[in-house]
Amino acid sequence: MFINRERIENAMRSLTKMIVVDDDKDILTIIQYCLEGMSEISIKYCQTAQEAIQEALVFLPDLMLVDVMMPGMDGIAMVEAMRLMPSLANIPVVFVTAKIQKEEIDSYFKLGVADVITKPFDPIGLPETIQKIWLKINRTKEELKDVK
Amino acid sequence: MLNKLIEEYRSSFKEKYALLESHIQDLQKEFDENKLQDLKRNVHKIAGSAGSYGFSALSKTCKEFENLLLQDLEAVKEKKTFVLNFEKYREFMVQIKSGMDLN
Repeated sequence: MFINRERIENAMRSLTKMIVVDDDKDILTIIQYCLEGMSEISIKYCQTAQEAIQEALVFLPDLMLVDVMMPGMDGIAMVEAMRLMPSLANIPVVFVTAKIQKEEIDSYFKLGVADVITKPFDPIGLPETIQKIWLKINRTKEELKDVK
Repeated sequence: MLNKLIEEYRSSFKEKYALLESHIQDLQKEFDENKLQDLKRNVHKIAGSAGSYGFSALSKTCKEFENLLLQDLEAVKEKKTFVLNFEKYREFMVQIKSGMDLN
């Protein structure tokens, strides 16, 4: 398959800000360790959906990694709330979750999430997974532009 | 660095195990749906985190335990039973303990 390296590099340069939200500190710790190498991306870590929304309103991330099962507002309610906020409505969300029954995955995509990362995940491979997802999001955006 | 994180996870695991144990003991004393939810949530957390720290067997055990708890919760909600599978819970706790060498 032909890969347009310049296009990929440009796409990756457009990922500069990210928010990760998970109520499990152990998960945040390992994600933080895994993403340390992605120094070109500024990343905020939050432990609740409410905190992540407040942070997102100021930080305006390019991408959000969101746990589904959190006490209080869960990932699904968080995405529903974001979709009602003009400045957050179009931010791509990736669910990071162990809840991966087929009907659950279907409902996530119906909700409009960009992708799903399954827990447990391979910590070493996480940056590459995020890159692939970001490229997929960009490809979709460009295809939509072409249609318009 | 990753090894250090794994060791920290391993050493903090006693607290996670003790939390599960206290939820089960509380439930044995008195049934409380919220306590059962807490137990399920904490087992779910370990299922998600343990595998990411390399403890795959432990993660799998917790996933199975979580499924059992989910079934029990549904049975309780549908008022089919208020009798929980404590014997099975104990079996899972033994597996969790040995999965992290807490013996």
